[in-house]
Amino acid sequence: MDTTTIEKIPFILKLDVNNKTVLETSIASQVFQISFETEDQSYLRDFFAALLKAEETKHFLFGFQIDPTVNNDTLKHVAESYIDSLNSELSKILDDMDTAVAQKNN
Amino acid sequence: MKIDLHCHTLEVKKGDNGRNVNSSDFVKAISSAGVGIVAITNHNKFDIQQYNAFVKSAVGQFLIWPGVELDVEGRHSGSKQHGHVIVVCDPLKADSFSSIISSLCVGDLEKFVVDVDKLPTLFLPLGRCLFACHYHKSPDLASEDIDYLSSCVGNNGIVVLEPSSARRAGMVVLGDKKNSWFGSDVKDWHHYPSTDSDFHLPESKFHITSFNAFLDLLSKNTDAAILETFLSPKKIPECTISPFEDLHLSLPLYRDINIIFGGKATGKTQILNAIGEYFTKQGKVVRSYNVENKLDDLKKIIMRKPSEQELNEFHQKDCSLEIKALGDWKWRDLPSLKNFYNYFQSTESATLATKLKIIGASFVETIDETNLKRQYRQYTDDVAALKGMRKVDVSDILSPEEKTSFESLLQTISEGLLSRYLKTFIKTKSLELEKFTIDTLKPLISNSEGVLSKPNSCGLSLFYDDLKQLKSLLNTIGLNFLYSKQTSFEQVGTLQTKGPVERFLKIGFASQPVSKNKNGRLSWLPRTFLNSSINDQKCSDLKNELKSVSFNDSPAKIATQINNLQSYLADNHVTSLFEFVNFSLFLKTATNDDFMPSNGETSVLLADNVLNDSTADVLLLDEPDSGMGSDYINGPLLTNIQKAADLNKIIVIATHDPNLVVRTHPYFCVYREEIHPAVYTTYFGSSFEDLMVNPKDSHDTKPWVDACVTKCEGGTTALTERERVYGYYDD
Repeated sequence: MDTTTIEKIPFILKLDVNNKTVLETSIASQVFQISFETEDQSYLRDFFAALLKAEETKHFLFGFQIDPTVNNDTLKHVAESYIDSLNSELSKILDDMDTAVAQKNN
Repeated sequence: MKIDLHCHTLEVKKGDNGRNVNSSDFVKAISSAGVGIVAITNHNKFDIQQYNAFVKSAVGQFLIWPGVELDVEGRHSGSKQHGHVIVVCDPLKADSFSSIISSLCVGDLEKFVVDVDKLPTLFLPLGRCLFACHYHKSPDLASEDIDYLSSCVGNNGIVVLEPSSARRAGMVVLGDKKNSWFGSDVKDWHHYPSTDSDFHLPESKFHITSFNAFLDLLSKNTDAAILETFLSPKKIPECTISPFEDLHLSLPLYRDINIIFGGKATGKTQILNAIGEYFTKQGKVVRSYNVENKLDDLKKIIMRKPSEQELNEFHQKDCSLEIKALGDWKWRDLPSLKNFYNYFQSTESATLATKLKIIGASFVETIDETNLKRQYRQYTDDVAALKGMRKVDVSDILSPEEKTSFESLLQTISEGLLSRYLKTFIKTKSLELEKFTIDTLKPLISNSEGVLSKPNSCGLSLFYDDLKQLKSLLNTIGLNFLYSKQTSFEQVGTLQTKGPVERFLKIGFASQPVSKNKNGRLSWLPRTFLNSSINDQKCSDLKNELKSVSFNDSPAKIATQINNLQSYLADNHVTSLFEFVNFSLFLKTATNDDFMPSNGETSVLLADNVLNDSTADVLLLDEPDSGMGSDYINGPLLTNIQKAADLNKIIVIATHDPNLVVRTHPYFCVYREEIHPAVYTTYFGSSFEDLMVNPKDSHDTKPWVDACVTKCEGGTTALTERERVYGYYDD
């Protein structure tokens, strides 16, 4: 498989450029392939659950990046948009978690 | 009422140190001791000025009678034995009494002495007097001299030797030790009436209002008419009962202590029950102590349900909103990567639409409707509580300034509560509007421009919110389900050695711990569910169902677990935790939070509760002595019975305990005697007259003492043998 690897320790996002169908990521030793074609809800939830549960979650923040060498505009936009959304929402969630922890400690 | 007929207020002779007292201290000491009558009996002296001053200060609090303690020389024993004699006269004759003492007691009062022969001549002109001769107390006159004095006084006064007439007079002479004969003989006014903890002043069962009335009671010639004068204030209409087919009785009961005594199986309990039925029909509140039913009766006393006020908190924590939300919960659909892909593909040919930024807007905020509903409920509860506080009449508690300040604070709190709720309301509704706008405009533009709208979110926020809401719901329900509270302590009774016994309730949703003694006698204090269809098993089932959701499992498994939980809630119609409310009762002493009374302690607690029931008019005690120690009978039991009698309650006691029959000084007694097998005779009477009369045959009589000694003391032989064994007992 011809892939371009975008890596930010410890998060790895692989983008399948050729068939343009899969975002692949590895979280806490689990590998998730998020298909462009499927609407499988449980697969997405497993991915999010692993993301929220993983100890390295904080490191994922802003760790989703698009490989600058990708030259398919649509794919680039999709990946950028999706990753923007992930980063943005993860950022809010981490804030919310921090607030909850602070409230609990108080 | 307590009576002290031997009281010194002046230092006259050597050894009188500490006996001087001023008017204020005198009144304070006598009042504090609860004494109703006091006689001033200084050595060989009567100070009329001090007497008058004391009388003036004591008006409305207690009676003061004039008296003196004279040194008297005997003439009739051959040894001229010296003794002390207390003389007390009618307070109406105080001036004359003062003149007599002033003329008599002259010179050195330390050495003063008067012949016993002169006493009647000196004092009987004043009318009836009380002469109290020292007895078993040095110095005392010889018995020949006391006999002489008694014969001279005759019916014109009373010579008191010992409390032999106490029973007749209703006197309770508890302190008949040698140094406490009929009075305090106070040595030090800082320690009135005595430093001896065993010392008790004599008490009169009757309320005595005059000197002559007191002498009437002490008189051995007291007749029924005089007794009636004292008894009548407590008389009630005759109680007509038919305890047996062939027995119809009209009992002249009193608002005091009435006793039914006799041998075993002579029908005492049946008479007591018939009296209870009679008064119940009369609309009186009747409380009974029955040794046979004591465990069940104590259970009824101890058992109680939580009040509405105590349950308010459980209404607030019933989680009905959370359970409803849990029933509706499911994972929401997530936008997929394909939605993003489709959106970008469609925008490649629709440049106008992409210029409208709303087409790419996202909404990732959390809207917590359950929280808003919870906040609203809290707000309305708080407002209701404030409204309740506003209704409290504080006009006699707070000053006008404090009242204004209080109302101002309430207003501030009211405004603060509204502001707090509005903050949540505005935030939630703003988010709803924002979401509504995005959700509405995006499809509109999409449809008109032929371009797909950008997904609001990648789905992570939605997933997180779903997860967070689920955790919050389960956490709130789980925590509230374990919530319990303890009510304040309420006294059930008092035990001699353990002190007050109090009950309290533990109220909770889930099964709260019950008494450690649940397998003992107190299994009659089980956990009780307000909803009779709920039980321990159902509590346990719900607890397990709530625990069955594991957040370590995959989202798909979580969904399955929630589906199962939702089915359980629906199938069992669980809409609120309130139906699981249950309570357990506990008894507590100073040292034991989970106290189980013994058999005897159960009796004590029950008797204590019955006798201290302020709502009862009639108290019926069936063998309250059964299984009790003599120390309890002669201590707390007698005290509580007398206290209830002082409150004018009608007390009827069925017993064969001599302490209860004799030491309660009953106004009225019913005596049942088996004259032939299964043939019984009933006698009415009282200790004061020492006479029991068969109401069917007025010639059929017997002394009250004989009946008592025979049935309560075990007969003359037993009584005299006990007396022989004990001898003269002085601890």
